[in-house]
Amino acid sequence: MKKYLLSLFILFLFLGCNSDNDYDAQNGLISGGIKDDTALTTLYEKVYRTDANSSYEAIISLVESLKNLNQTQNQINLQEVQTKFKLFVLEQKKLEATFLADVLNDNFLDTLGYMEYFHSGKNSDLVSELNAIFRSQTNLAEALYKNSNKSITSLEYTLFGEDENISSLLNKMDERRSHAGLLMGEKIATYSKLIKDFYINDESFLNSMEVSTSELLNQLIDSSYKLKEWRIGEATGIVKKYEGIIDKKKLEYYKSNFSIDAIIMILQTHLRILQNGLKSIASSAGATTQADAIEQTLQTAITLCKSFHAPLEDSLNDTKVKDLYNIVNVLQQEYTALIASMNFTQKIIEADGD
Amino acid sequence: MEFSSYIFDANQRIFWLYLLSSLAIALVMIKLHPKYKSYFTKKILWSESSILDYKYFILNAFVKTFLILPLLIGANEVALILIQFLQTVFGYLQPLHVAKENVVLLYTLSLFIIGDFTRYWLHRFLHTSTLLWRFHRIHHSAEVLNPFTFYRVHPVENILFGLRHALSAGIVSAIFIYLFGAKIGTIEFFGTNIFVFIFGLLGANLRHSHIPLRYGIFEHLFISPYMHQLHHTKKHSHQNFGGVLSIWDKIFHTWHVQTTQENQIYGLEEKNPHTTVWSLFYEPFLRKI
Ligand SMILES: [Zn+2]
Repeated sequence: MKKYLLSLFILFLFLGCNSDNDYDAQNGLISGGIKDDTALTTLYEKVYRTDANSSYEAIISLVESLKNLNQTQNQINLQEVQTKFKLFVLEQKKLEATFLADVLNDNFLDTLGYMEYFHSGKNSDLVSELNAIFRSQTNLAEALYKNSNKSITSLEYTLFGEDENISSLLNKMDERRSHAGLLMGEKIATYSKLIKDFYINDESFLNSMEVSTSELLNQLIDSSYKLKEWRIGEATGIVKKYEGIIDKKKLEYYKSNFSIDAIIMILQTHLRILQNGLKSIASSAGATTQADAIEQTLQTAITLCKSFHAPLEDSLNDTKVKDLYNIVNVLQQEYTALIASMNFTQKIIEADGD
Repeated sequence: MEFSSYIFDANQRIFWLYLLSSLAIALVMIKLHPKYKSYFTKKILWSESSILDYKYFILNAFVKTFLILPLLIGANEVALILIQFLQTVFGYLQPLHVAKENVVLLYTLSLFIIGDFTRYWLHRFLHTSTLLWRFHRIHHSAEVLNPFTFYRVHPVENILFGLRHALSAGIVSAIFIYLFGAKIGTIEFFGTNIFVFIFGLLGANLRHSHIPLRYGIFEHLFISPYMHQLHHTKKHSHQNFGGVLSIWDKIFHTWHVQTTQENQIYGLEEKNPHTTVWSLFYEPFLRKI
């Protein structure tokens, strides 16, 4: 009997050590089967850090142009500022589409909300507030005390009015209004710098593959949902709440007509996330098919967006808008399918009784 | 069809580590009570009933792999359908800000508890429904218990257990994905739910054996191998339906323990109708009520 137990014990030890290979002490406690560690580093480098940098560079360049406009209030500078604004906004959409700083650090919980005012209140209130500020004689910096009054949304109104033509805008672009634009730009730049510095210096995204991938996927789903409902559905009256009511003022950039470009940028960022790491992470967790489907859908959506001949603001009756809404809806479901497939790495039937 | 996958997959009852731990426990018990040696002899392991179990295990493995697995809906599919349903009815929910570790712990526990609960009820229905009993009877016609008796389950019962898994794991997963998005995950050891793993290590293979391993006071919470052996006796087959937890038997009044008895008789009340491996497959369909 002793011999039995001894040999059993040795066998235990031997087998125990030997087949440890499918148990990884770090990730082994949490399933998912994600094994590609380099993917996360590539993703962080090529998407997060790159985008944070270019967004910051874009706002700095915009602020420089705002300084010029503040001195001249002339047409050339106004047009230059408008172009720079568009470039910055598109960079900002990249950051927003996959924003994780708020998950990684509580200090960033409200940052995006401070930077931009879309879907977080009544745009009409903002417009009348800004008009009052531009008209009044009080200290400008004090008048712009609200975060919303220093947001990208406010800057857009300052620079574009509500889709006004350039000569009408030039008439309104007095010293006070151009100075307000500069103050807004500078405030936005401080947030942009905080975000950039965070992504450059913070490595917590790379700490846990499992946690970061989950947060990233949740962000992508959230981004698809908001794209579908807020950026397409509400203005076109597709969503239940505004059924049948077409209202271009519900679009994100109805003042500057950039809404479709913003949508394209968001979709392209999803695609870059996929191609720079997520696809490989998904494949290592056995969900290649689902990741491929997402890639395909993103490409279809981008092609459709690019086929619009007029700005989205002027195409709300086009049937293509409804098509776009439906495609993004599919995208959202495909992200859910990806999550489910990464969770069920193998088909277990548990078919045996007791 | 790889039989080695049964031995090397911790999701299987006969995973090598579970077999080994059960063997170790059995040897310790024999050491303490030498009379148990008679429960662990060639006579038992190579009895007619056991040989039938082995043959059936091999044949039914093919049925499961080629006929059941490809056709059966999986937990993944159920989950996806349900998430869509939840989002249509209750609207989209922004994933809640909860630490992944907590979600993983809660999800692992929920899968295990709901899974065990549905196992209890399906097992109970297999006994109480005359139609289902036809099929479950083949498991109970084993007159000798060995670890492979676990797999002496009619394909119809396999399908029912498979559906049960797809539904319970699918529902639990759908709710978690709806609430927490991608933050779900299970705490695993050797690729299986940690609770299943612990259960396997604690002598799960002795449930189908004659070694009367008991859990003492813990039998109020967990089904000990002896409690399952009682379920295989003629007298107590309407008790101890539980898989891992005995709380379901407690709550629904089917819990039974007694002082350990030796040389219990296992099998059916009636004459054993299953003498060949083929009869295990077709007998339930031919039998007159
Ligand atoms: Zn039974």
